[in-house]
Amino acid sequence: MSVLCCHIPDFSITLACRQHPAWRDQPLALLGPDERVWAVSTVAQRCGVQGAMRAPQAQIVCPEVLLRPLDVAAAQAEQSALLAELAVWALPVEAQGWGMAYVDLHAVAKSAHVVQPLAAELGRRLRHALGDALQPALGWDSGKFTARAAAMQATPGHMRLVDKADEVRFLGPLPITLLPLARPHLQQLHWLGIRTLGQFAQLPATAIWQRFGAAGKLAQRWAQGRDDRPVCAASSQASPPVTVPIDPPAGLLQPVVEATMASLRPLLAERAAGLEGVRRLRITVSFVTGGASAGDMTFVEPASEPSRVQVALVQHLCSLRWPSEVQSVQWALLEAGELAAPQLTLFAEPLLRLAPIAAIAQQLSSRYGPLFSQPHLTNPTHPVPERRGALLALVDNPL
Amino acid sequence: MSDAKRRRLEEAVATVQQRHGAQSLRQGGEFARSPSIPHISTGFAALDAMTGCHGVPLAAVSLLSGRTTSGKLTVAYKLLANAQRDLYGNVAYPVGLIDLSRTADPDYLARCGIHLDALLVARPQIGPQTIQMVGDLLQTRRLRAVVVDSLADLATDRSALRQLNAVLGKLQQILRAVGSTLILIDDPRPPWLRWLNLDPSNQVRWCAALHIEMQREQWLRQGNAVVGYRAQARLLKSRWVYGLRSAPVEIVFNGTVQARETW
Repeated sequence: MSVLCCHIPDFSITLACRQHPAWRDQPLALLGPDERVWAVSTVAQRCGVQGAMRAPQAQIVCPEVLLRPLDVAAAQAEQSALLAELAVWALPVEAQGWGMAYVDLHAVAKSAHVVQPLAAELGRRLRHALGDALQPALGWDSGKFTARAAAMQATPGHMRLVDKADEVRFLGPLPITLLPLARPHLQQLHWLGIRTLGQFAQLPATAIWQRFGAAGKLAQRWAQGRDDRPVCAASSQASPPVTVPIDPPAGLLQPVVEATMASLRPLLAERAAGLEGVRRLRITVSFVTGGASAGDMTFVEPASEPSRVQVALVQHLCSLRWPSEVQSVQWALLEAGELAAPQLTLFAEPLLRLAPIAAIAQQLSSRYGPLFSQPHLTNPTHPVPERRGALLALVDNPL
Repeated sequence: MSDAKRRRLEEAVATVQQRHGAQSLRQGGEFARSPSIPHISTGFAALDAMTGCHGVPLAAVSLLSGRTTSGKLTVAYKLLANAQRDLYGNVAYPVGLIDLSRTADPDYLARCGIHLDALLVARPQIGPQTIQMVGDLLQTRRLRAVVVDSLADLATDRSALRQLNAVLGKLQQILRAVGSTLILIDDPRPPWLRWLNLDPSNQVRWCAALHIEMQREQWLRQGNAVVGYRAQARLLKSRWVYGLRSAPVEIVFNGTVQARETW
């Protein structure tokens, strides 16, 4: 196989900043259709704002955050432009959310020196079509996981091509949190001291199977560079609608949710075993009086945990008006996607959250003056303990 | 309950849930199964077991009292170090120290395990402004724990103490809203002061969810060198357990300040 991954970092945020240059230096969070944070700028991330937060939560964490609705039409237009450019070669293209897609180059290029000019041409065309701000980072390898990791390692405007022979050397030092394993599994690995993909790849396959099941086995194959998933178009991910009869018809939330979740659980388990999740579900609720209400549930990140889907389902059902008792619920999977690696939330970079110390001092110094300081060890080996450290002022004294 | 009544109740519940969300009405049993109290570990297992909430509670005021060299400041620093860390031991939260006694030593802070880059030290002039600063620091919602060292220094200014007593209720409200903890350090007071209504920190003791008093028992020596000390932590007040309890703790200085379990 030969897979090229095209990744535009911070797609929605960059697009919003391109449309409104004044937002560029401010902590910015874009709200999705469900009034939750969809995308976060780097500055806002440093202040603690995370995806899927509600607007008031984001404001509590960072009062200065600029909350703006996501321009779905503009993002969709840019995404369509991206996919149209990728489809020019008439090769299979698989979209993975906004700003990311795989292209199967197996039919035209199988080695790095052939892929390089093709990728360069593609990069130039994308830059021309989407503009300098949205230029992509490209990654290439024989499998989707390694190609994605390579694209995420490359800076925008550059490509990272990984030869089959270099796969193990490339993946070895990368953090294990790139794998979209469930949070408890990553915690166990963290406690066991397994921090890199190389360490994970060398564990006995039977032990992985016993402890983490099918998902763990698949993840280990990816960590070893053995990812044989084909690149398939998004339309092939959709499933036929499933109708769940509610018998007897119910006017309460609980029986409706329980029946729907019982029907959804096998699908979620199947997707989770493949390290995938649902991205968009269409829910149609039919009432006894004959009316029906349809709506889409869209997840910021693909979800395979039943609890997360259940919370979204409850919110969705609560947002509907129920004229009478519910007779049946029909759901259809419209879009699926790879589970997101939780590396941003599980082992958070300390510096990301520690930035506010200086900000707090700056904020309060206007009222209290330069009273705030931070201790530092200036000479840790000095024989006199009092001379080993000093308190350094965080705000300069205007006098 | 008859079927008709049950059905009417279910309809009413459904109506409320549809109008105000599924979480607006819950069964009482769900509250009874509430998880453990949010807390910060002291770093001393015996002390954690004694408090009834596995450490110092979040969203509440706690009081640590004791004479000089009783270990109260060491326990407070250990609490700050634990407050900085998340579930996985990574330094993730900033904390604050209001150093009214002007005794904060970066070397000792670091040896107690505090990550210095995540510690904000304030040394204000003692006065009513100090209390406002405590409130403002908590209201930034970014500090997980704030230690005030100490109430004895604050009590040198009567107006500051009056201000503290006046705003304690408001501080508690802020703590409940932000989920941080406020740890106050104080000197021990003889009980007769309280009986005569002369105890300057009586109001604080009344409001505190947890009150621990430290008493040094003996120095630990190896040969002629002092390597640490043994103290007795007495639980004078806790919202979660009743009666007086005490736990021995040993604090050993060996490069880093360590807790040595004695039970």
